[in-house]
Amino acid sequence: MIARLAVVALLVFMTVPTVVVIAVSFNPTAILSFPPAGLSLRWYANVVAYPQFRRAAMNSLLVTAAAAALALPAGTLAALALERGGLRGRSVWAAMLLSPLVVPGVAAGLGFLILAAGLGLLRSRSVLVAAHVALVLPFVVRSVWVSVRNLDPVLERAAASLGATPWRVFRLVTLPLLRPGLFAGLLFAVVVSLNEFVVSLFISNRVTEILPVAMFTYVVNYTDPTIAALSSLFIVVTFLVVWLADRYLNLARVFLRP
Amino acid sequence: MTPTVVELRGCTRDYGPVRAVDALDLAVHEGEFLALLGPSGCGKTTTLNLIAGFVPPTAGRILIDGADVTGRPPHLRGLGVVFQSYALFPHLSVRENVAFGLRERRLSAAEIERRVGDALELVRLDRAGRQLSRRTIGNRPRPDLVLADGEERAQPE
Repeated sequence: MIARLAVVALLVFMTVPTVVVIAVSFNPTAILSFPPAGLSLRWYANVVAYPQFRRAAMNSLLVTAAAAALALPAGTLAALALERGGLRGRSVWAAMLLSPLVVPGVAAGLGFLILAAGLGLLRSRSVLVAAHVALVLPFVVRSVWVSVRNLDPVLERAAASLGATPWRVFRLVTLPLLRPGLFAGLLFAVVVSLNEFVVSLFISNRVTEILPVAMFTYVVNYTDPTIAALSSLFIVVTFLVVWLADRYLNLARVFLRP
Repeated sequence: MTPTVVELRGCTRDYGPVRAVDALDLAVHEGEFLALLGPSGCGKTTTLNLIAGFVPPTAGRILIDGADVTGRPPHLRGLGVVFQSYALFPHLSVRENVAFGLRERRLSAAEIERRVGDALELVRLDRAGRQLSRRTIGNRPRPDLVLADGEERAQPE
């Protein structure tokens, strides 16, 4: 009974901020207040009509797609090398690959800003893509690494002894068996990149900024529920991505396997 | 005496400071049935890995049908290996498992179809399109025996 209450309390604590944002997004008045005074979709109309949000959404899609497309193969190779490459100082390499998880975003953002300025790339989305690759790589490496550990090397030997060339072994045995980890890694990459804010704030401008940065800029300048409406849309999209992935890819299997 | 099929000459294999196989000389003749017996850790698996080409010898030479294959990768050695853990591909159906080696050795589709059918009929695995994971544990060894068998017959006589 007490345990159940504790779980419920924890759930409420975790979801209340989200619920408040969604409730406020339907508020008919132009104030960010809770509880809302009625029901209205005018802020959603505002989101769609605001050109900067459209441009930022497009930037988000581009940057996330590019970052995921680069980070997935790179992270997969890194995971394979870490598990099987017979590297000296493997734990050091692993720590370095996972380090973006513990480096403060402000520090990383500043680093990328200085680098980008030095290279004259401040107006380019490529810096954003590079930063996002670095930030999502730990998640990709971790997810794929779990799958690599679960992969029985005997299967690859069997394939080789049956006449498969190293490339065919990789394509017909290794890759298909890494699929759960690859999908989990891709999912993490997409979600983390879509939600990335701190580092992106340092290295984007009005033209290249991604959605979370555009939302922040908006909040700094205006305080109406438009931002709550956009946040709600954002929550729904992220939730859908994870839900679909869970439904079709069986996430529990990816994470709960030893 | 029948011709030598597999021959090891002074084969040694070290894993770091551990010597798993020490200057082994071994000749297996055609038609011979040879069993390696010994306590665990005595080098049986390492010897088989050397013959299959999964690990290179630290010293010594390996010959198959009289040809030196010491540096040859496993996929070019033309051997069939049955692994202790069966080594079935869990992402493939029974039929695809049996066909794997035949496909990699580039037999024609019709020939693959025929041999897979024959092999499965031999062990009475009907409707073998199913995924392996759905087979019961008791049935597990069977597809693998077919695998090694279908493979053996894929070899040129």
